Parts: sequence; C-alpha cells; structure tokens
Amino acid sequence: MDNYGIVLAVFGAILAALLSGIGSAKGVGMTGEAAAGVVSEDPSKFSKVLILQLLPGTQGLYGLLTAVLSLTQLGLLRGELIQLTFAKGLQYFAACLPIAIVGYFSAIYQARTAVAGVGIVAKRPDQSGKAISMAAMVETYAILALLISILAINGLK
Amino acid sequence: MNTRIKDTDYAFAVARIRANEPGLLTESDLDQLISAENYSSALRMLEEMGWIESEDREDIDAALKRHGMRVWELLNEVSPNISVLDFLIIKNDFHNIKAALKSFVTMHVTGGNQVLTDSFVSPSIVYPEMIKNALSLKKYDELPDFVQDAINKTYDVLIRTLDGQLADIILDSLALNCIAERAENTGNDFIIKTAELMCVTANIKIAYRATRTGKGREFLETALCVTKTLDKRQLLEASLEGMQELIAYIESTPYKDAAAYLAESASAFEKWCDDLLMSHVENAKYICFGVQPLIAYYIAKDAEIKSMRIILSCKHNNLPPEAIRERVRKLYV
Repeated sequence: MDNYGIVLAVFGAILAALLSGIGSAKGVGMTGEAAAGVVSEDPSKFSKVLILQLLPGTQGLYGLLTAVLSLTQLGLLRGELIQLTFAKGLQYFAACLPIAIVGYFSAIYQARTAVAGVGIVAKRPDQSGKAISMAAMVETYAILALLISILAINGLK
Repeated sequence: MNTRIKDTDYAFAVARIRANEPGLLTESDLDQLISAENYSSALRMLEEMGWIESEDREDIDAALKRHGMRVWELLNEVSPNISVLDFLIIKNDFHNIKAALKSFVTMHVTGGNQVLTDSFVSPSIVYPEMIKNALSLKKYDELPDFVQDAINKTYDVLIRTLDGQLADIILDSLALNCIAERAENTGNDFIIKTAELMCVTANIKIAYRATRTGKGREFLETALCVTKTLDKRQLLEASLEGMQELIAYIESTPYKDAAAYLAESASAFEKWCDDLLMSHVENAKYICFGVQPLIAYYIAKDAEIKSMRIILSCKHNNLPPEAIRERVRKLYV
C-alpha cells in the first residue's frame, strides 16, 4: 500500500502535464487553422493572428511547470524517489488536478475565443487589441488553477 | 449518405470567408451604383470596385457568371466537405439536365447532330459536358444517381409528348425534393431550415404562377413539393380556388408577410423571397465555427449578383433610382 502513494503522486504530476498539454495542442491547432485561413488571404496579418494562436499554448507550460515542481519534490528528477504514504500521495495527486483539469478546458475555450478573435482581425485588423484582450481573459482561470496547484504542492513539502 | 462534420473543423474555412467578407458590397456601394448617371458610369464603378474588367463590358452577363463561379470555387477550396453545400447549387444541375434533354430531343426531331451547350449554367455538381455525353451515348452509368433518376423520369415523357413544359415541371419538382433530401442528410438544423425556406418560397412561386395562368390540379400535384412548414394540400387547394384565396391562405401561414408582396407584384414577391433567405442567414456573421458562414457567404454573393443584374438592367432602361432601390436585394453586411 505504501508504494501506491508515490505512484499516485507521480500520476498526478504526469496528468497535469498531459491534460493541459493536450488542451493546449488542441487549442493552438484550432487557432492555427483559423490563422492560416486569414494569412492565406492576407499575409500582412500574420503577426496579429500569431499572438492569438499562441495564447492557448500557455496552459501546456503551466502543466509542465506543475509537473516539474511535483517531480522535483518527489525526487524523481534526482533519481531518488522519496517514500510517500498513500494519503500523502493522494494529496499530491489532488494538488495537481486544478491545473490538469482547468488547463485542459481553459485552453480549448481560450482557443474558441481566439478563433473568434481571428475573425475580428480578418475583418477589422485595427481592432486586433480587443480580440487579444478577450482571449486573454480566459487565461485568468488557468493562472488561478496554476496558483492553487503550486501553493498546494509547496504546502505538501 | 450522412455528411456530418464537427463545427470546429470549419475554423480554417470560416476564417477565409471572414477575410473575404470585407469585399462584399455595402449599402453605400449600392447607393453609388444606383445613383450612377447612366449605364456606362455604372459599369465604370463596377470596374473600380473590381467586379469586372474593362474587356467585360461587352459581355456583362458572362462576367457576373464568372463572379458567381469564383465564389463556389472558394467554397470548394475551403470547405472540409463540399457535399454539405450541394443543396445550394443542385438546382443548376437540374437546369443543365433540362437544357441537355431538350437540346437532345430537339436534335432528334430536327435531325441535327449537335447538343447545344449555350444554356448550361454553373456552378454545378456535375459537369454539363458529362450529361451531354451520356445522353449522346445513352450511357448513364457514370452519372450520379440523382442525374440518372432525373433523366429516367423525364426522358420518356419528353420523347413521348414533346411537351417541354411538362419536363420542366417534373425536373423542377425533382430539384426541390433533392434540395430537401440533401439538406436532411447533413443533419444540420441550419442547412435544413435554409433548404426548407428555399422549397417553401419555390412552392409559393409555383402556386402564384399557376393561379395566374389558370393551371389545373395535375400541374400543381406534380410541381409542388412537400414541405414541413407549408401544407402542400392546402396550398394546392387555395391555388385552384383563385388569387384571393391563395393570398388569404398564405396570410394564415408562418409566411404571412408574403401575402402583401404577392398582392403587389411578382417582382416584389421575388425580392421578398431573397430577403427572407438573407434574414435567415444574416446572423451567421457572428458564428465562428460551423458551416453557416459559408452558406451565408454564398447566399450573400448570390444576392449581390442578382442586385447587380437588376441595377445594370434598370440603368440600361433608364429607370429612376427610386425604382431601382425597390428592386435591389437585402445585403449581408
């Protein structure tokens, strides 16, 4: 039963990187498709749509950050895994969940807003700042989830 | 055949359409054209807007057809599955079948040796040449099922009766049924509603013309198609009773706005039909995922081309701007 603790903690860390990474990949891909549509008609709008395409990519970085922090604390990166009780492992697992779940969904919803923003850039390139602001609003919730995951992991030291 | 596609698969297509939408005509563009001094200055404005080249002045109709063709080529290029948009142009295929069949039968009767191709229209799902060649060789295997079915149902009638109008009615009715069927196959509510509006307005047009020309029950039975929101039986009976009864019936349906336009004139009603379709699709400009913006763009361009024809024709006949304004179609932007 004692071994399950570390397994659960590592699983949590991997889930944080995995889900938010998948969300970001989907989001960046979807926005990239829309961006390509605009650039194929007007290549001068590349820089404006590129910013929008990058926005849903941040969740993947947040997941990576959470995973690295957890794995460092668990000793996996040093090659010396620490011993964890099942309860402690479960706490690590739970600490990783906010960024894993919120990261996944916020990346996809942010991508939808970014795609809508690409539509704004296509028709009114002078309003691209507003399009970026709208998509950036979704980022708030990914940051809040990252914050709670990091605070929880640090609290488990 | 089911042609369902996820809305997010249209991200690229919608973005390309969005990038093309600023090229659509605005109210002020139309106003400028309507206020043009004469036909020649209207053509000059069209050149400045990039609608036509200077060499197109000799054949404006061909230039406008090319414009329509380019819209379909764009949709063909961007759409993840162009077959979901087939319902928009399938009536052109039926027109081409009609033209090819009539030409083929005329050729036999008069002893000619060439199927005329002047009256073919584009864009279409099937190349008109394919239909023409299939008719010449009497080998229909390579044609899509709906074309084979249409030829089978019309060819004998045309050969037996030499009644071109009867063939027209059969093919027009098959076209409407095909539009509704293709739309249903997509499973997309927006497409189904768009097709329903196309069929309903076509039905009202048929009933209106039938009443004016005194057509009988048999004609209406063949020509009208079944729709969900306008009862075929009641429309048929009202049409047979007379114009007042037809208008009274339309007033009792969800399409009651059409009644006033029907009472006014055929051209006013035609405009109402196009504007109704435009009102249905205009909210697509706020949709970022899905097929809706593609359909709306096609309908918008189609309405623009119709408006352009109306303006140029009115300018050619020196009609006053007020008369032109009454006829031009509602814009998308």
